[in-house]
Amino acid sequence: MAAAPLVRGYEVVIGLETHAQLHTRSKAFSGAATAFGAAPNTQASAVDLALPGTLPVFNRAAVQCAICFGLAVGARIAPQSIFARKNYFYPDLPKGYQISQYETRWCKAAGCPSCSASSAAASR
Amino acid sequence: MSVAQPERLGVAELQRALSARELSSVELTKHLLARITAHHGLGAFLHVDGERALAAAAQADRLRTQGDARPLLGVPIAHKDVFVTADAPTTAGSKMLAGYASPFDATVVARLGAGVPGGAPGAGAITLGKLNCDEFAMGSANENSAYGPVRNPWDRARVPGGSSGGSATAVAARLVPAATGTDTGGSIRQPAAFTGSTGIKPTYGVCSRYGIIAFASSLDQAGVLARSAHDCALLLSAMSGYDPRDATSAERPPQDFSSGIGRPLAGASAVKPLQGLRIGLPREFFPATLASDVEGSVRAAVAELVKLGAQAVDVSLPRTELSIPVYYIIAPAEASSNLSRYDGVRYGHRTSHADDLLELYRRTRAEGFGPEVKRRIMIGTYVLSHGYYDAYYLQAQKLRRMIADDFRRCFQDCHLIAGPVAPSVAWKIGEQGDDPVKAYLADIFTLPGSLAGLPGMSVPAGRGEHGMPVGLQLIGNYFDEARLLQVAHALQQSTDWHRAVPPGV
Repeated sequence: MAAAPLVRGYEVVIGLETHAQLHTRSKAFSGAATAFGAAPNTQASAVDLALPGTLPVFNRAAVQCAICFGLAVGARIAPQSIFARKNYFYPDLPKGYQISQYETRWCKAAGCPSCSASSAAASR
Repeated sequence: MSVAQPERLGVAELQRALSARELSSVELTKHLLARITAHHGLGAFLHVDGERALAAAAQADRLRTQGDARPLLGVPIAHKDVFVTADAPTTAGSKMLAGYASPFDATVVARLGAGVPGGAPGAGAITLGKLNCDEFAMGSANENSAYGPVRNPWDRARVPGGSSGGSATAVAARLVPAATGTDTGGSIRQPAAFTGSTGIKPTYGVCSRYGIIAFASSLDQAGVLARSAHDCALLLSAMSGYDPRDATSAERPPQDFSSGIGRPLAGASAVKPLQGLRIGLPREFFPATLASDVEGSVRAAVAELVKLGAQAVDVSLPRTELSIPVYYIIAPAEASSNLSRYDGVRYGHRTSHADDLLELYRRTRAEGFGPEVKRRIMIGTYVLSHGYYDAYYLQAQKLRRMIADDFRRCFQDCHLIAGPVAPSVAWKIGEQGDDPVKAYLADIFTLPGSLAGLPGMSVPAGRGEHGMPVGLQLIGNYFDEARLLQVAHALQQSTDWHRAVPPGV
């Protein structure tokens, strides 16, 4: 099929934002449980509610999952990673910021071994 | 009560009197509660719970008869109101948190008192109440509290310093033998200097920040205000140590900071206990603008240290002045993010009328925060915003590293650094008017150590203009609190400034 005149000369690049729930017993930044199907409000801790004085502690199992995933897709694993705060006001954002990764994330430059031979080769 | 004026006893003396049964914790607590009522006008306390304190004192007395010998058992203290407490409201000096009830105790509070639930037993101290402070610990005069100023017991028309002004006044006015404080840019050292108290801010990471209402997370650190270095050491030993709930807490074994107190430094003699100690005097800490009374007292205190065997050496911290703009970018940046949780949705103040979500946020925050907090939130939001981040925040972070490197170089030539805490003695309440920059500039000598994350102390060093106290600042290398306290104690063995009692107290 011939491309429409408007997109001729352009390369189509599609980015995907994919969310996955990790198989950890507790949340990424608190000790509260993550059991699926539990009663509402039974898995919220003082840290999750952003009560004054609380501090997040990163879940070791979560970073292990991230690194395993990165290895599986041939990503470069960052020896050092930095969390950043993404600030905005929203009622379901108790701290007023997300704890996210901006400059140095755990995994970078992944290929997808099952997608194409070239990226599989690159990931070796 | 067989002890006259028990309010004059420090923590170490109280430990002895309590264990010798010369005094009961109930007698002592009653006595101090009466003093707190009598000195209500100083504005030091925001909350006092006499009934609860007396019940805890009675319990401590009972436990003692059963052989309990925990270090601070039955010793009454009080906490700056930025430490959350399950038994008393926590306001951070702000209308935003009026009446806020925390479901848990800060780690520092628990360790000094009953212990962390499920963890080791605490040191057994009794909490008399919560102490006034600048709103969200932002200020150097305790004039920014939503609950009114704190007065300096040496001259009630003057400020006690800030932001731990309530802690400093309560200790100096003999309302408590010791109190907790927090120090972000000088908030323990400067009020200690202004009130003739002894204060220590340990290395960043020594005390857990869990349960401290965050101001600037990369700088906030808990510490002690007391009447001697020895007493500071006793409290610091109990409240410090690794806490898995604070990811920036230092993983180090528990330390008894009082064990070296009263002993000469390694290789020194009893006559010259500081023999071999090299004390660096940064030339930038003695500028022409330094008040002459402060300079005189500080130099006399250094001379005293030299008499005890120390050697004074000339060092340089070339970026001392730059620490002011660096701090006043980094601290507001972190504050603007940390304070965004106060939105009226879950706890704290909420506006009584809002038609939509944006209005709820706007009105809640406009009504709940005071002017200095708003100013810092605006500065912080500005320097973090897209397009300005690289020019302000990133530059400030780079300079912060260079300031830390300057200290690293200094510590190749000396063991600790000495200088003034503040460029003048305490000023009059209201004297600085509406110019916040004046107060910011007065933080010049405490900010460099804060930015580097180093431990610092203020030790009473004399009296300056109008008879107001002057503090000597001692800055140590990372995790060198034990030596700082040892040196401060040696100075307090040969000077009496820390024993001076304000008039009318």
